[in-house]
Amino acid sequence: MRNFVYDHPATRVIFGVGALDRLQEEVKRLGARRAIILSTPEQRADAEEAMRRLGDMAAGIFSEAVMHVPIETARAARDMAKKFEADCYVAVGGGSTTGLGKAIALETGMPILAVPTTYAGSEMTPIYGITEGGLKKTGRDRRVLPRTVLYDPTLTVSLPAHISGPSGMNAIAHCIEGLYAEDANPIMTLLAAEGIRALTRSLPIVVREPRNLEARSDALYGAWLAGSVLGAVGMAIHHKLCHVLGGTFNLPHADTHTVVLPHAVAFNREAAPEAMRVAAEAVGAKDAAQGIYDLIKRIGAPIALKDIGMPEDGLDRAAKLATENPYYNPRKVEYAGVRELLENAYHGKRPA
Amino acid sequence: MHSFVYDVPAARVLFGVGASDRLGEELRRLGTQRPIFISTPGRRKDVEEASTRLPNMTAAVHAEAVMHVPVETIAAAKEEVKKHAADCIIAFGGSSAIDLSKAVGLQCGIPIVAVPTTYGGSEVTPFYGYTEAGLKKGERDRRMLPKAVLYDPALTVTLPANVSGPSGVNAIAHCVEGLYAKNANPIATLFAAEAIRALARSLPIVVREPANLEARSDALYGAWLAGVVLGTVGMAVHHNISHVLGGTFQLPHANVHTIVLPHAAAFNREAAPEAMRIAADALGAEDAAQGIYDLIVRIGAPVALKDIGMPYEGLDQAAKLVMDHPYYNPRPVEYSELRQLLENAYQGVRPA
Repeated sequence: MRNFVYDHPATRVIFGVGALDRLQEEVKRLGARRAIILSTPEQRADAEEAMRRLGDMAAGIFSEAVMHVPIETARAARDMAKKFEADCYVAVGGGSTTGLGKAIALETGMPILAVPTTYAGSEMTPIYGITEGGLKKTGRDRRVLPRTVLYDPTLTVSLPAHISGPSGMNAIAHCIEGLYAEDANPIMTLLAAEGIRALTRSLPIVVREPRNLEARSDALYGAWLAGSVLGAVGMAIHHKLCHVLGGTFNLPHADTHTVVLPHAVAFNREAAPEAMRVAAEAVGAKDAAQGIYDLIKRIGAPIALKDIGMPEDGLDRAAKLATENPYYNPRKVEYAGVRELLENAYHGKRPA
Repeated sequence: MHSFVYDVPAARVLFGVGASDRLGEELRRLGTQRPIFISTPGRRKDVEEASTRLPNMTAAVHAEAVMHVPVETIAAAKEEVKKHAADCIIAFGGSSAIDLSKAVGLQCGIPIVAVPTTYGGSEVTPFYGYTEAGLKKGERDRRMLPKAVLYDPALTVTLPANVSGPSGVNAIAHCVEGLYAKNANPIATLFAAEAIRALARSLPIVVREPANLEARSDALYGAWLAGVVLGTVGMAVHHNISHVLGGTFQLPHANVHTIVLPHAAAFNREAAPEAMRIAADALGAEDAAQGIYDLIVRIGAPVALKDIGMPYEGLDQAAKLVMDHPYYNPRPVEYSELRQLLENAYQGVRPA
């Protein structure tokens, strides 16, 4: 057994259909009395659901969360909390809303309770981002972690199939890279394998029957574990590539993760045999890369960069950007290999 | 998927051969200047030696921990803490040293760093036992949990085979009961299965080659996870019986657990089929109860209560005492079946 460090923050998760009904009790448990509910404008209805559960402990709804957490938004939410004498926040939604909660927690130290409604997993990571003057500042700080997370699969049934699929694959990507992370540890490996298993068995049902609560439970469970893995160990080439493609070519985040993953896995196949064995077993396939590719096809998610807006003449540049700064990856990252990976991802070929 | 609550405290674990060399680093991380080692008298030389290796710190040694933590020893250790103006406890050894440290750390409000040398798991459970006027008592509070745990398999090679075996099976008992606990959750289940796997593959090697560091690593890893399971979810009939036998008949703790476990597993076989499937899988056996029994025989640990000092005429009383302290158990506990269980454990028959 390799030496390892396992360092995990305190975690409280309430999981299951009806978890939202425990919202008031959980806010009380934090020693808070009045909560501001955060959401995006689109998810105001979910915020209102939460408000009903909170009863007289609800101070109001701030439904102006947007992508990338502009600092002005965080300040406006804080002002609202001051005005209504709130002492805690309930973040109902996906990455944007949770991100807003984290930014507020970082600045004020006020407790955040998260009610995730997507598979982003941000509620389990100490990673935050705040955009100020057009620049996004990111960092890691455990103080941004929600004190309590309520996972209620009921809130995820309205997530459309074409979002659920890629979002679930994005979660699988965190698990896969967690298996061969530089600072991997056996506990995160257990959670990663479990996350892959849960998502693999549930996503095909989720996209076919979005209201199937059993499958939605499994998928949300997998997404939780994937978020924990992402928060605990470092990522590698797959995440680097997706970052470059998303940042430079403005490709949609989860779709990009979905398309790139089988090729990143094939790229690392020989360099991380144990991780591949665990991943293959968890996806129920002989080969991890092929198993992931087949799963993507099965759930009808995109398989080719050319189909999600990537310009073919951008591949050279993407390969350059992804290889100019060194970072950890089990296989040495060099231009030619990465360029080939991108070529395969561009055309959406099944990994050989 | 069932609804569940997953609530775990923060944990920091350094695992691997040489981990105890990082003690100074961990103490600095806590900002401590004046640590005090707590150990049993048998470990005095080890802790004195370790105390000289802490640079720029004034360390004291209190090597007076004894079994069952008499309340007087808590008072004496607290005196030492005051005298030395200690700002941190280094709990070095097995459950006796760690439980005393937890009592003192909690009462004095100072942090603990644990360096476990056995498979007891006390370093990751939020409770300790002590004795007052001959009566066993306990205290539960998360604040007593060590801030860091250094698991160094090299420190366990001196644990004799006849202690290592039963102590390892005792750890397996936490896992088996964790699988069918009333408040079981899927993460504790993952940990329990992983721990059973690690212990089942390593214990036969540990007892044959006590200095085999690979096997010692696996066993200590399993013991850690078993401790986490014990600290997170509730136990059932096996622990109830073992407490009665240990307390009333003064039988050795780990041996009692070892002998009772296959029979408790057989008792719950039909009532907890999913837990049994997972346990059997982890043991690499067709049936969990038989697999545990065979493992015990293989590692040369005791299989019969009659061989470790249990009086036959005490079986009736033991069964009554267990009935008097009703615990949760997946199968309702009735006197006649319980008495049969004890009979089987007394004779040491292989579960049918």
